[in-house]
Amino acid sequence: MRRFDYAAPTQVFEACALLADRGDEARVLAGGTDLIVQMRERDRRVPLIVSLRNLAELKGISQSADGSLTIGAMATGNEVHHSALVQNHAFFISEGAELLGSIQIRNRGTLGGNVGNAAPSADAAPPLVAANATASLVGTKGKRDVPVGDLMTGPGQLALEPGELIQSFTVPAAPAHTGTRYVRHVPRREMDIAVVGIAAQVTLEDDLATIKDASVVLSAVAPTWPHATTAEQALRGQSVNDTTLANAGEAAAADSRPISDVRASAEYRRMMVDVYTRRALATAIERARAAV
Amino acid sequence: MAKVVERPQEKTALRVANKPVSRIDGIENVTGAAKFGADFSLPGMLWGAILRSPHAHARIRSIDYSKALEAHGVVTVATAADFDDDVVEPTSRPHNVFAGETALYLGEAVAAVAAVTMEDAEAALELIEVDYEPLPHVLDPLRAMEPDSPVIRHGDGGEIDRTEMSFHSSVASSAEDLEESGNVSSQVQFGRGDVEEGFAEADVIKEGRFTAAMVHQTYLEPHAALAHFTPAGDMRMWVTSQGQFYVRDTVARLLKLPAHKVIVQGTAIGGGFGGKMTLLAPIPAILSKKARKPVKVVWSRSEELVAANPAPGSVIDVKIGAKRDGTITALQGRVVMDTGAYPGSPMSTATMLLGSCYVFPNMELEGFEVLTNKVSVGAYRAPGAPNSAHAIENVMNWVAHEIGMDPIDFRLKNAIGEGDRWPNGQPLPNVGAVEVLEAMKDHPVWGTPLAQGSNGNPRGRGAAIGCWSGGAGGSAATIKLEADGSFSVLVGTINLTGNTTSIAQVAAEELRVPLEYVSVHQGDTNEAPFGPVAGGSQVTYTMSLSAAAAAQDVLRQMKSVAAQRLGADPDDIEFDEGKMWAQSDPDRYVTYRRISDEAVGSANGPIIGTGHGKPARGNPGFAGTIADVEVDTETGLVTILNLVGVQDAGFAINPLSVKGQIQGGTIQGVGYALLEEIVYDEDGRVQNAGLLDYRLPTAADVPDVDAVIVEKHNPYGWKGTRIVGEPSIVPPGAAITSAISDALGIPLHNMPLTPERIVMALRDAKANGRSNGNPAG
Repeated sequence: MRRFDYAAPTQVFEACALLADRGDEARVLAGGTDLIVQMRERDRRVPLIVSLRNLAELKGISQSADGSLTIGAMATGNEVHHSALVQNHAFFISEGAELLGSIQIRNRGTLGGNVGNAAPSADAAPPLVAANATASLVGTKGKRDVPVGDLMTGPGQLALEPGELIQSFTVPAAPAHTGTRYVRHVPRREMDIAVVGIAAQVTLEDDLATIKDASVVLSAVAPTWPHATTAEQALRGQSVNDTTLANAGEAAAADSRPISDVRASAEYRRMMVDVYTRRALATAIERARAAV
Repeated sequence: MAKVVERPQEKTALRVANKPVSRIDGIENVTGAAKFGADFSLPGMLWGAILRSPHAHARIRSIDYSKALEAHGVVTVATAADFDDDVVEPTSRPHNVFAGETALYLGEAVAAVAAVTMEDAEAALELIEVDYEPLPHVLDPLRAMEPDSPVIRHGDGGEIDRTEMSFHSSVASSAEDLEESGNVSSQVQFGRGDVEEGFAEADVIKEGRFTAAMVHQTYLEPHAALAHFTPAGDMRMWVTSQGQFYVRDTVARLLKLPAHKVIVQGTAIGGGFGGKMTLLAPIPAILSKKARKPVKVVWSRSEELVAANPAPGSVIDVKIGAKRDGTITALQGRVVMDTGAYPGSPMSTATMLLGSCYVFPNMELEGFEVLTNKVSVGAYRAPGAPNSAHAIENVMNWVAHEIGMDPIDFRLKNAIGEGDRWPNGQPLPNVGAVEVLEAMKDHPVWGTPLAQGSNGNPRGRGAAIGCWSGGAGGSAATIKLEADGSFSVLVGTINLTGNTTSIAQVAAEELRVPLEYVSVHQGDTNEAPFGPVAGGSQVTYTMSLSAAAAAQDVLRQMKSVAAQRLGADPDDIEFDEGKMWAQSDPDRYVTYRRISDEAVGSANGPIIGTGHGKPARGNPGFAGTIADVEVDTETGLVTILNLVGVQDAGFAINPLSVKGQIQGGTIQGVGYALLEEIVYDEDGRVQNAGLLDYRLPTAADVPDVDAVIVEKHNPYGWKGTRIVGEPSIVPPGAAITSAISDALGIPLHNMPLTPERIVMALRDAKANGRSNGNPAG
C-alpha cells in the first residue's frame, strides 16, 4: 500500500472542509472494507484519507415522533442487521445489511459506505431505495435531503457536491399491511456478491388480497439501483395470485438493463430478475399479511 | 472407523500407529505461532516486486530500467539478462525466470525490482520501459490446434521439463515431444485389442465431449520467499515450498552455485496441493545476489491467480460400449489438454487414467498437449485425474442407466484388479478398486432412496470412482537417542499435511515409546537428509519406511550397548516402554536413559540412527464418492445433501489425518464440480483474479463429508500403508456432476456446473425436446 495522509476530524464541518479543500485527492473512510482493499490489492493511490470514525452525528439508529426511522451513515452492517428498530420498521433493510460480506466485514462495513461506494451490486442500498428513504447530506454549504434513489448516478458515482458527506438515512413509516423482502442470487451461499438483487415492498388493501402499492428495486442489473417501474405498475390494484406475480417478474426482467460479465451473462441475469422478483414479492406479501 | 478388508496378523499389538492423533503442530498453526513464508524477515531486508507482461503474446524489443534504478529506495533490478544462457531453458518454467525475447502470456514476469520498501519497489515498476511488439495470440486449445492458428513457440528447442509431474506419479509416461506440429507440444497413444470390433459387440454405446475448466490450487498462503546472499557467498533462503531440495537445486543451477552453498529452509506451509514448488524462489535469489542484501518477495492473491501454475483445462471425448449384461466391450478416448505457455502438463497421465479403473478389452486412447497464451499449468492434487474421471465416470453412469444396472454393480463387474493391466501395459499390484466399490455399496447413503425435494425441486444421486498412481521416491531420516531416553527425528521433507505427526507415530511404534517421547524436526537442506517433494502423496508412504529403518538402526545400536551392560547377547535383547532386557533374564533391565549415558561415554559414542526408504513400487490408490444433490431448476443452484468419500489407505498410520485428507480432497472436488474456474477475456487477461470472483466453496456450501477409510494391505508400504493425499480429489467432480445430471434427467458435460450453465442446459434441453428424464440423453 502506498503512503497516504490521514485525518480523523471530530467535527462534521472539519471533515467537509478537508474534503472540499483536497477534492479528488481525498477519500472518505467509513468501514474501509472497499477502500483499503482497493488501496492494497489494486494499488489505488489515495493521497488523503478522511476517516469518519470520530463523527458522533453519523452514528446510531433512532425512531422519530413521526414514526420515521433514522439510521446513521456510520451504522455498521451488523448494527443495522441486528437492530430491532430496523427489523420492525422495514425488515428488508436488515436483510440487505446481513448480506454485506462476512460477519467480520459487517462489524466494520457501514450502511453509508455501502451506499457511498455506489456499486450497482450493493445489497444494503436497494432496500433503502425501495422504502423511499432519503439521505441527509451535509456539506460546506449546509444540509440537504435527497432521495436515496436519486443519489447514485452511475457505477461509483454519487450526486454529491465537493465536500459533501452522507450523514444519515431517514426511512418513512410504511402504511399498514406492508411487507418487505430483499433477496439476491449468488452462486455460493456466503461471501459473495449479488448477480441479481431484488428489494420488494408491498402494501396490501385491508382485504389482504389486493395489492395497494408495490415497490420493486433492482440490484446488479443496471448502472444504478432503479425501480422496476413497469413491474410496479403491473402490481398496483391487482389481486394476489400467481399470474400477477408472473407478470411482475416478466415486467421486472424487461425493466432491467444487465450487462454480461465474469459473474453472469445479461441473458441469465434477466432470467434471474424474473425468478427472484416473483420470489421476493411472494415473501413480501406473506409478511404484509402477517403484519399488524 | 476404518474398514479393514485385508491385513496380515501383527506379532505385537499396535500402540501408536493406526490410532487417531491430533497434529503435533496443530496448536502452533491455529494460534498463529507457526512461521509461514511471509513471516520471515532479516535486518536490512529489501522488498522485491515483479513487472509482468501486459500482453498475451509479445516480442520484447528492449528493456530500459535506468529510470527505475534512480527511483527512491531502489537498489537493483533483475531481468532475463541476469541469467547465463546455459542455465536458461525456454521450455521449463522454473528455469526461465523472466521472459527473454518473447512474453508468452499476460502476467509473465519480465523484470523484478528490489527496494527498501514494498511501496518503493512497486512504484519503480512503472519506471521500467519495456518496448513490446504485440504478436497474435491464441487462448482456446482447440483453436490452437488448427493449422492457421498463431504459433506460440517456434522450435525454441529444449526438452519438456516433466520434473514436477514426475513427483506426482511413479508411472512411466510415454509421451513424445513434438517439435514440428504447431502448438501441439506432445502427444500420446495407448491401444489394446480392436475398438471397432469391441463397439460392434456392444449392445449399448454412450459417448460425450466433456470440458473441465482451468482451476487454481488456492492454497491459503500465497507464494513467499526470503533470500539472503551472505558475504560468505552462501545463498540462505526461507521459502514456502513443497520441496526445499527442489528449490535448492533450481536456485543452485540458475545462479551457478554449488548445492551446499544454497541453504534452503522450508517454512511452515499454508497448503500447496502441487502448485507450490519453485516458481518464486529464484527471483529473490537473483535480486539478493545483485543487491548483496536480503530480499523478500510475497505474492498477492491476484498474482497467484494470474501468474502461478494452475491446473489445466481440458476437452475430453469418451465413448464406451457394453453388453446388456454389463460387460464393457470397448473404450475410445481423446484428451486435449491446455498446457498454457509451457509444455509439461499432466496430459499423458490424464489420457492413461481414462482406461485405469476398469478392464477394457478393447481400447484406443489418444492425448494432445496444446500450447496457448495463458499461464503455464502445474500440478494440482492428482494432476489431470479429476478431468479424466469427470468424463469417463459420467459416461459409465450413462451406460449403467441405459442397460438398467446399478451403477456400482456395473463398476464392480468391470473393476480393475491385481494382474490387470493399465493402458501403458503395466500390470497392477493388489489395488483396492473392488473394496472401495463394495464399501460404497454398503454405505447407508447408497442404501437409502432419495426423498422428495423441497418445493418440487428434483433430487439426484451420483457415484464415481477414481485412482492415482502416486510417487514412490527415495528418502532418508535420522533419529537421535537423547540424554533422557527420548528421541528426535530429523527429516528433510516438508510438513505439508501433518505428515510429521505420522512420522512420529511410526518412530514411536518402532521404538516402543509413547508418542510424547518423539519429536520430529524439519531441517534445512544442509542439516537434513534428503527427502522428496511433499507431492505425489508420497511423503508418508516413503518417509514411514525411512523413519522405521532409522528406528531399527537406533535400536540395533541401543541393543549393543544394553547387551554389554547386561552381559548378554544383543540378539537376546527385548525392549519396551523405555527399557531393554535380556529375554534370558527379564528381571534385570537397563533404561533408555541409561543407554544414552553409557553410549556417550563408550566407544560407540552418541547414538544416531540412519534410515533409508523407498517403496519397491508405487501402488495406485483408489477412492470413490457418492453425492446426493437437489437442484433449484429455476436458478440452477445446487444443494449437496450427502457427500460420502471412500478411500483405500492400505494402513492408516493416523486415521484422523487420513479422514482429513479424504474430506479435504472431496471438498476441493466440490469446487471443481460447481464453482471454480479461471476465466480469461479475449485479450488473455484473467477476469477473476481475486477470491470474490474465483469462487471456492465455503463451509456453507458443503455438507459434512462422511469419510470412510478402507484398509487393504499394500505389500510395499510400512505395515501396509498406501498413498493417501491425492486420490480423494479424483471422483467427487464426476460424482456431483453426475448427480445433477441424474436430478435433471439430462446429460451434462461441463465442469464447473455453475448455476448459469445448469439453467441454460435445462433451457436448451427443453428447446430440443430432450427433457425426457434420461440422464444418458
